[in-house]
Amino acid sequence: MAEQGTGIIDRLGARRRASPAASDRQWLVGLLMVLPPVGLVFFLVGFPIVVGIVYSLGHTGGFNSAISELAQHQVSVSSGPGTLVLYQQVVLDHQFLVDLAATLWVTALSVVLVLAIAWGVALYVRFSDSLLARAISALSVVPLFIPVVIASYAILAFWSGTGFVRSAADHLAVTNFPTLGYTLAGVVIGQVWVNLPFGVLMIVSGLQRIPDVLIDASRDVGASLARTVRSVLVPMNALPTIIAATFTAIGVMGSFTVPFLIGPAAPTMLGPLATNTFQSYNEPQQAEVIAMVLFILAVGVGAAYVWANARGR
Amino acid sequence: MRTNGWRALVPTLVAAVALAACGGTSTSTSTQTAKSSLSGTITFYMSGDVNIQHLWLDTLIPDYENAYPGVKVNLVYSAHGVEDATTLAKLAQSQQSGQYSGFDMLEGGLVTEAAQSGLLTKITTSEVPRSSEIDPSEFTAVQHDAMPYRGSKVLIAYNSDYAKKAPKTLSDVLNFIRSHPGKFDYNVPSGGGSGQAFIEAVLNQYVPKADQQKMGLGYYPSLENLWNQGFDQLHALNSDIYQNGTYPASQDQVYQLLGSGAIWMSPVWSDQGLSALKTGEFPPSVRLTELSPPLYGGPAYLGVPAISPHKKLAFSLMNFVLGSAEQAKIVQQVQGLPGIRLSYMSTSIRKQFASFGTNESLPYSAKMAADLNRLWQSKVPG
Repeated sequence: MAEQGTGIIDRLGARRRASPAASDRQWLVGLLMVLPPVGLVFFLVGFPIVVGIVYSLGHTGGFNSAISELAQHQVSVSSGPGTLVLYQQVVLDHQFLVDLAATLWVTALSVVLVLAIAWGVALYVRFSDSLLARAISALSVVPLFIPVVIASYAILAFWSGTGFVRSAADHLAVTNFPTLGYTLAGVVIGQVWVNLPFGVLMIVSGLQRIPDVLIDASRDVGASLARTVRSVLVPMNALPTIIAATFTAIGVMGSFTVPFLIGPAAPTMLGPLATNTFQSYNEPQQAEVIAMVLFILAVGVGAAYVWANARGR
Repeated sequence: MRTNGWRALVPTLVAAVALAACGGTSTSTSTQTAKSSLSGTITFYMSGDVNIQHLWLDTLIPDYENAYPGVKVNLVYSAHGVEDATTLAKLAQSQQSGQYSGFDMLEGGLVTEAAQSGLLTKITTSEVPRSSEIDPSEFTAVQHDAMPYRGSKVLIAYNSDYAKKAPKTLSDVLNFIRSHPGKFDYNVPSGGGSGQAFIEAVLNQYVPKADQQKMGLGYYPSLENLWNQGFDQLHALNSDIYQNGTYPASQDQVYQLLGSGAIWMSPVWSDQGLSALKTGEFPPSVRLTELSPPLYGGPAYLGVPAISPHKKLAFSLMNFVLGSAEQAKIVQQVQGLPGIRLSYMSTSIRKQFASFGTNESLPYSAKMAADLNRLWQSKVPG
């Protein structure tokens, strides 16, 4: 018995001894396969980010010498780790603070609206197999196929002072109907349009995966539809909802085209502010700082995604 | 056309004007009779709007290559000058290292800056004989380091159905704005020169003439406090501007507001205004008028980098586009002002531009304008 046992262990041990060489080789092949894309990403994306961060800390020489030759209002250090003067300057700037506040509330409101509409569509599709339900779920993905520039212009024209909505209101004798073109409310409409397809796809597919038996069981014990949604569907579909929310938030926060075209000149969102700072104000260093603030905000939201993903597993 | 402030525009924004303006077809007839022995390739960097890109691609370059069969022009186009900064950096490095930058000729907002930084070749009548036909004052901003070849200026466009009297001065315009709330608009200064020209005119009311000149030719941040009073005045106008102070991101959006009748008056580039009238984007009741003193405007320049192995070819192309036949095509295709003096143009063209006058204000230099863009954004809207 003991002998037999040893034999098995020996055999297992032999296999275990044999495997490191094989897995080493596999590991190496894997590494070699992943190296070109990772290297390319590091070189094309990672490296410029590092150079940009270094520039924002006041290092204007080396790789930054060409851009710093033409830039205005630069802060420059000759040695040491760098300075945070620029961060202080930008973060305390009144215009920046106003635009940051606008970015945060536009992002929050857009996320809430996208989730609300996506959940509405998803529930309707989950509980009704009618032609209309299928048509609605198909239609809500349409924005995916329309370029953002064109959609932004269409939204601007639709909600502008001479647009359809105002004209229709005028015909109904409502003369002071608000004009949403060139307002942040218009920007929210644009953001919802752009981000709705992803939210709908995530939440609809998440709801479809919940087995009918769970819903039936809940209804059998007398739960109302609202109760079933609250206690069964929402908890079971939490992960796709969080993913949809974080992706929407990151997308809205860093967006440029929608606020640039539909939004007002001021306050605007951080995307147009960074672009203006870089191009129109010729202050690339300050633009890097704004980009870093956006990055930190996105990391914060990204952390929620990672946490949800880890919990989901 | 001043392209410096146009970088931020999205290409589609200008499509309406541009596509309409490039309707003219190029003809193969050329004024050059003697076929030249010049040969080689010119790399030509140009930045600006699509209408100017098509002017070169469809008309000027084919005409030139037809007259000079040995020369090929390789056009490098940067929409609204987004690569201007990179190109300037390349030129600066080429100057430092003494090596060819790869560019033989330049057009766009960066030329003035390159000229002021001493990166270009001096242009005299021995290099470009026809440059003697250009008004010498057009060389002021670039000190003969670049050559003007077409021009445009900012005018005031007004809808004569509602604004019965043409404004003659800036204060007429300001009075109109106050007495007709919501019927005037201009774009953010980074979204096109027409809005920026209006802003500069308001600021210049409080800037002494000598300082205006300094701001046009160099960078003097210490003079910027002279702008405060003007910015205050612009801020006070907010409630009388379209939708209580709504400033579109691009001048084309302002043109659309004027065309649709939402507003009755706005600043407009002469070439774009004329094109819009021609294509019907502006109704016929829209009139263009020049203020006194005029809003800014000025020539678009061609420049030749200090280091280039193909200078001779570039000079021949510059001389070619100054010919009256090509100048007439510029007028016809993009409604630009001729680069050469009007007396060298045909009677019909002289008549067309007679009412525009010949003067315009000097725009602020690129760096002053960059600061203006930032200060306007933080002081005026909202």
